[in-house]
Amino acid sequence: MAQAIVMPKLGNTVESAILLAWLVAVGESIAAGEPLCEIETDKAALEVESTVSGVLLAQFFEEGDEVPVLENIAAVGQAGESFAELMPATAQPQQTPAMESSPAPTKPVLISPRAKNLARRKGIDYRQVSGSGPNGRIIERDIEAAIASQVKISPVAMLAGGEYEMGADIPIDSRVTKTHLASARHEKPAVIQALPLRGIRKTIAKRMLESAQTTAQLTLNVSADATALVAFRRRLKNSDEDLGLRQVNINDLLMYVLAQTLPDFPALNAVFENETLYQHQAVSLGMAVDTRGGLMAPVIRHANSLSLRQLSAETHRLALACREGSIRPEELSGGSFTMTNMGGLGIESFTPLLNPPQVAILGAGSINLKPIPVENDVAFVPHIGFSLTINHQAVDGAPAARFLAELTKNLARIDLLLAG
Amino acid sequence: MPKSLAIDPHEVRRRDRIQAPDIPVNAYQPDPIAEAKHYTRADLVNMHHDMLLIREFETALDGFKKDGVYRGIRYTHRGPAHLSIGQEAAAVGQSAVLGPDDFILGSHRSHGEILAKGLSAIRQLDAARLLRIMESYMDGKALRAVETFAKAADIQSLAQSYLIYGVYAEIFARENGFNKGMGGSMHAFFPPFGIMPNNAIVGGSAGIAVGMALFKRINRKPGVVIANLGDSSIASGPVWEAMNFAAMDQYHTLWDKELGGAPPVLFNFVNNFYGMGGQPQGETLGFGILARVGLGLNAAAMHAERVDGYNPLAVADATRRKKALLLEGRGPALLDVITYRYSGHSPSDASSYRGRAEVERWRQQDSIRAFGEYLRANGHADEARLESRRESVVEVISETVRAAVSLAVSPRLNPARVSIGAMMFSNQKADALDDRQPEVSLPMADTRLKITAGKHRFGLDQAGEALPRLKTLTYAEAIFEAMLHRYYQDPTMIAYGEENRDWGGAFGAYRGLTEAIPYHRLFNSPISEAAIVGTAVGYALAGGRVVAELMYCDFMGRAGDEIFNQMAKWQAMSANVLKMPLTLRVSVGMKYGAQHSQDWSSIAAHIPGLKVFFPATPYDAKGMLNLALRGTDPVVFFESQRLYSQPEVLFSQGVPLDYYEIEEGEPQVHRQGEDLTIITIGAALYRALQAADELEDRHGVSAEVIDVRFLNPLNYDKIIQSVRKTGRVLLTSDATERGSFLHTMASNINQLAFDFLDGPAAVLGSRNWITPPAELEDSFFPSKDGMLDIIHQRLLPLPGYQPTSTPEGRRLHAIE
Repeated sequence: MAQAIVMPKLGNTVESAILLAWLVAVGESIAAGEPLCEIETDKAALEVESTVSGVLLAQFFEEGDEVPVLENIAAVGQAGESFAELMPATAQPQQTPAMESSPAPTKPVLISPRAKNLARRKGIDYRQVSGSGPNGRIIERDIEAAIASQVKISPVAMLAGGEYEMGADIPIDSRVTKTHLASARHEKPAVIQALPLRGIRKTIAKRMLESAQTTAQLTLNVSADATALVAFRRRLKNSDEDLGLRQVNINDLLMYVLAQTLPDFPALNAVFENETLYQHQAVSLGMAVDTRGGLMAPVIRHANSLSLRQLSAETHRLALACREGSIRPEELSGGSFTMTNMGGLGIESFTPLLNPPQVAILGAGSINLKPIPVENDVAFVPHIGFSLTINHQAVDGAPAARFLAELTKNLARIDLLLAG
Repeated sequence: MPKSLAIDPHEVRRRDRIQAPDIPVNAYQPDPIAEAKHYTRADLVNMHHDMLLIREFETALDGFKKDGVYRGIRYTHRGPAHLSIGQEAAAVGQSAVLGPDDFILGSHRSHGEILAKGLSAIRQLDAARLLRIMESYMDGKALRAVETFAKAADIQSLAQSYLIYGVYAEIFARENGFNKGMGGSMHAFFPPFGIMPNNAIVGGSAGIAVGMALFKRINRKPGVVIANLGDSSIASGPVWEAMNFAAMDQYHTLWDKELGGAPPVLFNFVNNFYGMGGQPQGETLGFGILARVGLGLNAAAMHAERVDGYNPLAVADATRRKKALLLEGRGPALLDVITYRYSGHSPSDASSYRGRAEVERWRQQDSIRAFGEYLRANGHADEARLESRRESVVEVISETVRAAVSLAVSPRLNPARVSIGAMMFSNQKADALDDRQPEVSLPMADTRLKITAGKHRFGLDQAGEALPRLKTLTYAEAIFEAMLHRYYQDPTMIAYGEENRDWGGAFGAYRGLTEAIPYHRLFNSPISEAAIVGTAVGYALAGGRVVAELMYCDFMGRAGDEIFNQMAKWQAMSANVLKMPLTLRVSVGMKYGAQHSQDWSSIAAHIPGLKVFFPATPYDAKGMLNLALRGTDPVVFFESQRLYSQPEVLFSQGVPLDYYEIEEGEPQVHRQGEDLTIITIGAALYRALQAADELEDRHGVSAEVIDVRFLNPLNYDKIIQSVRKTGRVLLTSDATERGSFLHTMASNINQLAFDFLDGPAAVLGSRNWITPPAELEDSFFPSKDGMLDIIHQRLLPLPGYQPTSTPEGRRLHAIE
């Protein structure tokens, strides 16, 4: 008897995923455990594996379709077997994204003390969680599920807005585009491209607006003496290949100095949720990564306890994973501070947008020569621009300025910092 | 029935008739000349003095109670005062012939007996001994107070003031009272003078007195024991049971002759002709003359007599004769001492049930006045001397009661400073309560221990398969080993119950003890639960270790007062002067229907003053019985008939052959888990473990299983720790659900772990029905499936699970 392959449930609050590509054609054989298709949720691409062995009898959705979780997406069985009963009633591409709805509760929310405490600790709005306990009571497992799903939907990228120019020439994903190009040709010939926001882009759109609307942002600009930075970077670049340090770039060095400076400023290495400032001991350092699908912000755990070499390796690994779409959801959440570097693109200073609930984000600009009076002369000293955006709800300007002062001081003596 | 006593049908079917001895009624012939030879002049004058003192002592109480004043001393006494004004001769005559080693126990109306016995003892103890007693009793606190006011010329008068003050202070609930006020008017006592607990439960002293007499007989201690009981108490079951227990044939037929016969106990009925407002003679009972009841107990008719309690010399004469035959082992004895109380039952009693003329007729024969006339008429004392004695009595009572009511001299115990809760148990350890060599019939190595020692001590082999049952130590045998150990350690330890000897207990736990232990340390009792527990209470209070057995838990009702009012209360009511090394083994049944299958551990746990143990495995059975048998506290030791043949399968180290104890109050975690805690009492443990297996295997739910083992005391640490971890808890036992101790634990868990709970603690007990017949029991007791149902319905819905039992709503709300 033919059996259905279903769209996996990826967490309680994930309701649907986009089917990116079929990896097996109808009529081909497939073994249990082999990948059947690629899907994309809010932040990452995943493969769906077949749960049975046999011949792929039918694909119920087309590439690009948004498919509800737990819906049958394909039938696998013996050649010629009937699969009609497995065909989902809703096997139609959804034209518009599902509206987010949170119907007002009609009765008091029942929740156990244990679940309530967990929700409070993890910043979950339990009124949005459905209960699986007796009489529909929300119990611990329901909150745990909500946390797990929150991990999946939470911080995709989201970087300072502004620097990203949204335009028709930036493809979100070629495979998605293909479908839309097709439908666009039929329905809206006057428009060059109509790209409904999906996946990462949709999340970025939501989060950036939320960032601007729900926080009080203030940006401070400063330039820092980059003589030592540039010199050190030169030494690394010219070092013996065996040392494996040649790939350490300016960005890595900035990340390192930042990670070493932050522990002394817990007010900035923090998240602000539910009127509470949660200051962090360890530095979970997010970094903005530009990918084809949009900006992502992977997090380097315990960045302050990594050596320069380790930090560099982790930075490169995460950036690559973002660009290849193999980044895991948990690597995209839980940051306590984020850095975004526009220096490579020639930007001198800008106003980064916060990545809530974090309370600060550091933007790094390009390195430029700055005239500095030296005795009776003027010296041209390389300086790098820093733009620090804070949430003024949680942090004031003065401590932020003190942080920037310490950061520039540490940058100017990076060789000593590395010795420490 | 021992095999040595064969029932011969020819003998028992023979035609015969019972010939009963005569019961003397008021046989005493006053004879001043003989009496003057028998007693010294001082003896006689002292009797008169003691009667005066008792009268004045209670007159003061009567004044406080009725008018709030006695001779200008104002005081309002809130507690009880059951006065014996009119009955003084009965008390004084009795104690005149008793020694300090003789014990008296009394009733709610025993102030007179306490004073009479104390005054008598004081005259017999030398000054050094008296001083030692007063200095050491409660660190001499009462003596320090007495020294501030007593104008005593010598140690003996100091001791008299001390006695009067100690009793008053006790009545007025003062910390200097003989029991720190914890006993009060109805329970005051003072063991150093042989004044043992007085009992506010009518007839309560009877069983206790027999137990104390057993202690004296078995442990070869001097003296006799007298239970002073009201006339109406003779119709109460426990008194009847106690008299039968004291009259058992086995003391003569089976026990070592060398021990000396029956326990030396006198049932002394202080017959004032009223029981509350009823008259036993002529109205509420049918004996006519109380002494007649002796005829029903044994061939000697308990040597019963009616004695004129208005003549102290008649009482003294009868008591002396009874004491002599008791010491010869020919007891028990019964005296019907007629007397009369002028005051009511209590201050609230308006004496509406008797005529004023009746009271007046007794007053005209007042014993104190009559005895004063006797002293004068026979030249023992002149009026001046008597008058000076009267004045000195008034003086000593006045100065003493003034000090006793003074909060400055006699503060009340401050519960904020002195923990009454800490008095509930003595919490001591004693390997032996006497230093004699324990009397045994076999060397320990030759007992059944050589069989049990050779058995597998753990019930599973290395592959986890069950070892042969007969070759594996069982729960019953674990109990045997603990009993045997203590028998060979503590010479005072005795055990008895309805089938303890030969049969070895209805469930065989004592098999092998009959051969090892002589009769007087292990014997069968009549089927008299009240006497079994009541006598054990007395034995323990007297200083011996005792294990009493109730064959079925359901029979606890038959010993309700003895368990709940006597066994539980005396340590605290004595302010820890007395200890209660009594273990009551109680077997929880099954299969035998409604009156043989109940788990009443919750009832025991409800009563303050009882330790409550319920082991579920052989390891715990031995370790917890060891613990109980080395302690000094009353333990109700529950066992389950589901478990007697159970080998040890949970404690992988098996049941040690050597001595060990379980830590008191500590629950045992038998299985670790993360998602759910199941807490059990008793045999439900094994069903809970099955439920945990099924939860794990079929539902991926990891359950922690904890056997509390102890209901009281109980350390909640492990329980709270577990519930904080899992957030969900089911409590289960075989006790019926309503009012179960499980609810007490559930309530505490809800309090102590509220913020960690994912749902309220769920309780699964037996149904609130009678226990149905064995064939229908599965619908009654908690089962593995019932546990899963409750977990699914109340704590953690299990995807795909179909409940098997009654729907949730019906279980919670049905009247069943």
